[in-house]
Amino acid sequence: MLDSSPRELTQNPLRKIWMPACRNGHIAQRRVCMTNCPTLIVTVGLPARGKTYISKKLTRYLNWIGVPTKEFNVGQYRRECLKIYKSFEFFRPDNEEGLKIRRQCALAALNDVRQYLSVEGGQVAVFDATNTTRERRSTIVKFAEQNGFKVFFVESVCEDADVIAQNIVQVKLGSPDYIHCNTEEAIEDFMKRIKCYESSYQTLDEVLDRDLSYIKIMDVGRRYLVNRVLDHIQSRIVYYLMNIHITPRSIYLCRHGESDLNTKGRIGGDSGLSARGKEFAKRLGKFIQDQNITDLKVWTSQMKRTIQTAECLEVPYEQWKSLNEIDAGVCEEMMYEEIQEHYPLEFALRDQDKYRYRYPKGESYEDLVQRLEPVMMELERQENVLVICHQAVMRCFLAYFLDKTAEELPYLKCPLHTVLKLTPMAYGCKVESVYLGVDSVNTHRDRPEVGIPGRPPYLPCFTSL
Amino acid sequence: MPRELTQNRIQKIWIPTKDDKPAPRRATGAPHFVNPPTVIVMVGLPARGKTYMSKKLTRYLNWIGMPTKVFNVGEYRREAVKNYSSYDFFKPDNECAVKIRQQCALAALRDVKSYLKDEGGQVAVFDATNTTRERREMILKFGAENSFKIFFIESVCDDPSVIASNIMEVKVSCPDYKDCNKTDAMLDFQRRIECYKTSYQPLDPDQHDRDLSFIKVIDVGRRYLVNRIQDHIQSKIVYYLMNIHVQPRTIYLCRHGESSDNLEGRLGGDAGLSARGKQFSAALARFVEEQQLEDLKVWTSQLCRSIQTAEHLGVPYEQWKALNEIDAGVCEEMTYDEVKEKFPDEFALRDEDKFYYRYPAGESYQDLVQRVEPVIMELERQENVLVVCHQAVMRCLLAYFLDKSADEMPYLKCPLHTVLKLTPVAYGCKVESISLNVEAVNTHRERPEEVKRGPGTLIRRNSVTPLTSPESNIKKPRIDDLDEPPIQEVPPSVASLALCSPSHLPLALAGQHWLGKVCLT
Repeated sequence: MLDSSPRELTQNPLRKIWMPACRNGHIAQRRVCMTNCPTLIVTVGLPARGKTYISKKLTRYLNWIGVPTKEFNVGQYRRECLKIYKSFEFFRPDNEEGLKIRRQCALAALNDVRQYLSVEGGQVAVFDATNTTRERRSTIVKFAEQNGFKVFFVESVCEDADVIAQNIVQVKLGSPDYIHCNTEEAIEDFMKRIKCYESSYQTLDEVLDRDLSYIKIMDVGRRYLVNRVLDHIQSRIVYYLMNIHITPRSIYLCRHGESDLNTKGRIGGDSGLSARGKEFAKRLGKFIQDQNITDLKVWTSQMKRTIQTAECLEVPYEQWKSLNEIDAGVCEEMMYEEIQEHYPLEFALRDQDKYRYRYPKGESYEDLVQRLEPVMMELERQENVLVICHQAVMRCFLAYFLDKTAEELPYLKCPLHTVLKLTPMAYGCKVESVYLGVDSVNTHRDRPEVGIPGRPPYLPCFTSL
Repeated sequence: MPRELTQNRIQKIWIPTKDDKPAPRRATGAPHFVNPPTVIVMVGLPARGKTYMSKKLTRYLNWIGMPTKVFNVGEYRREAVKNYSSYDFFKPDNECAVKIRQQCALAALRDVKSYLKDEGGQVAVFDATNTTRERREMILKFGAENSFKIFFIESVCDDPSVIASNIMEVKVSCPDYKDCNKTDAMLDFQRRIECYKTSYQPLDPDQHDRDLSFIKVIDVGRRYLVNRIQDHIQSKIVYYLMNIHVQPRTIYLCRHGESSDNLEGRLGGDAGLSARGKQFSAALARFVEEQQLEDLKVWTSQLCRSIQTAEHLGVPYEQWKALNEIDAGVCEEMTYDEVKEKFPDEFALRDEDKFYYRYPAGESYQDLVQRVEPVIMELERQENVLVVCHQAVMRCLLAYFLDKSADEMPYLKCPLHTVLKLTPVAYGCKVESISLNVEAVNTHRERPEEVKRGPGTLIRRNSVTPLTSPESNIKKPRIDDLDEPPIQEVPPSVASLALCSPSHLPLALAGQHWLGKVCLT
């Protein structure tokens, strides 16, 4: 180990990461290696207990922080297989044909899990199904052992009739299974479906399952039981699950009002608001008042332009340094044309991979996400929040809420003087875009067309799930 | 009319100027988390790690800027009853003793109230067995009367080897047993535990205690039961408790080898190693090998000099951007003389308050603490780790491990070519400083003598300001007259706590070796 002489380092021109010149060898990524072996997250619980909600949200979070994650919903495999759903009878415990099909679907899903984790470079797979019997879970554990995956169970236990009824209304009525039913029929059938599982339900047990790694979520987060957290990623998952909630609320995202540097076409810096920016701030104040929001928290960065904007609201606000705009390093306060002239290579590299590109002595979008993660965690804990931030920062948030990829993130449209109102709904997020009618410069640069064949046309970000 | 903003000269924070006094700093990097103060109440039989968790948690919370203090009822009892005779004191039928113990608990609660209401404390850790419902009821009532939030931390463990190990580690050498030999102490303590067992009513999440907020730590972290987390700070406490462990391990902290910028006396930058820096790296490799560790993780920053140092070790390493040196903003790559010449005001301001001072377009130590917190969290999870970082970053990490305040942190000595070996021991951390005998420039600047530090112009509530966990302030026995306010020295207020350099005294555990001050002053 010590006899080899130290390797020479070169700095990767795009990400500005120092690596040994020959190969990537043992350099892990820019952050601590989350997992050595891949992790299989397995949901457990009766229908309508929020398993798919948790699966999708967790998947979205993990992907956002850079852990390649994918969910595998066995119900979808069943829908592929069966084509037409007739009734709850399919789920009766004595329906042999049904049991056979369901088992095959589970195995097909596990096969795809293996493909994703062992072949396609996935790091976490979320196996979303009821998995309510010890036997089924034991099959999964064996499967994981054979393939060198760690297993972490996430069980949701809830007996609150109101919560269950609400879940059914929110996500089951609109499911493909019930497109031909009216509301009453659908609810009645679904309740019978739940009943089919109840008799064979074996909850994760303190004694019998004491060697498994799991979190049991009770009553939508009132209580948690956490057993044998093995590693960093499981610890992060537990922390995340303990911070999310389902209380209705809205998150408002906007940028600071137009700044003096904006009007000059310069990036970064710490300038104050232009006249139009101040006008926007005033209108933002009025808009917020009209929204009549209970208990609104207002967050800003520590840059003058966001604080000035918040000052116009005349409500208390919190300053977060983590919300500061992306650091453009040596390019701070330059115009794009100047960058192209003085740093043509950097300019080209940025267009090549805008997400991973790090400004010399500055940051990348990738760095930004890491910096923003604690803010995101706190956003999850909060209820009504208005975040007054910056273009790159807002793109990161939007990508999280709207499940956009790293490739899409740096090109999301976040124009000045426009407020995005995000309201969690069903499995995703409704977005309303409100332009407050004050002119401003356009700071958006589209993804360059040249030399990138086969890229899909760019889509605006105002899509709802 | 929106208020005008000016940028505070030291912290570079924009605040409204209309008021005569600076606006209360709700957030310098972190939001205002705690409105009502929180009382953390430990629950559990003796030797279950309550004091260990209390102290560790307190150290963490103070480091992230949440003024926190431990109130250990055992200490109050030792004040009241000067000489501990035997476990008989703890027998449930010892009426006189029961009364004394009750009074001690009340005295401690009074101090809790004083700390949280009058002294700027935000979290008080009430460290006692609190094993009966009756006692916990009393505390809940106390909390309700004073508008404090209550969060219980119960430690449940029935593994005899863990308990025996705890007793050996921290009980046998405690003041109660200073005149006993180890075996007698162990025996007496075990009998002491038995005294509590019959009346022990664990927290019951299903029925009696289902509306309380608590975490039950079972078998030293194998399992956790978490009930009704109310707010951000409770969520962070739970996360922290779930990440710490008691496995023996060692943390090595060192800086990169001397760099070419170091030779020129330049700050920051991204230079490579000098020849001596390379020598150090080779020496470090030999040192690491000699330590004969299983499974050492090596972490570096993303700056060249730190990675180059690690490259010499010939083992895998992880690069963390969060470990990068403090960003000196416009002063990057300047020498101190150049800074003094080009930015004389900034130079002076930095000496005025080095912890809060933020370089223009750069960072402060306070920012660094926030940046480095995820590294601390992961360090807690890990076992043997070598962190190859930088001067300011290393000072931050060291302040966490050695419970140093914000005021001390920027002046901790972290010389080049020296490895600090930290080993958790009892309630704290043993530090060994190992110089690898390769010459290097000295990059340390002492706290300037002539600088007058202004009193509290910077408000520190709710901001990320590491504080040293305050000493216990018990000076006199108080059981004589509970109606009179206790006569005691008024402890320093929070603001000045951060300004003065507290002598860090361990909480009276005879026989413990506190090497925290070795090599750092």
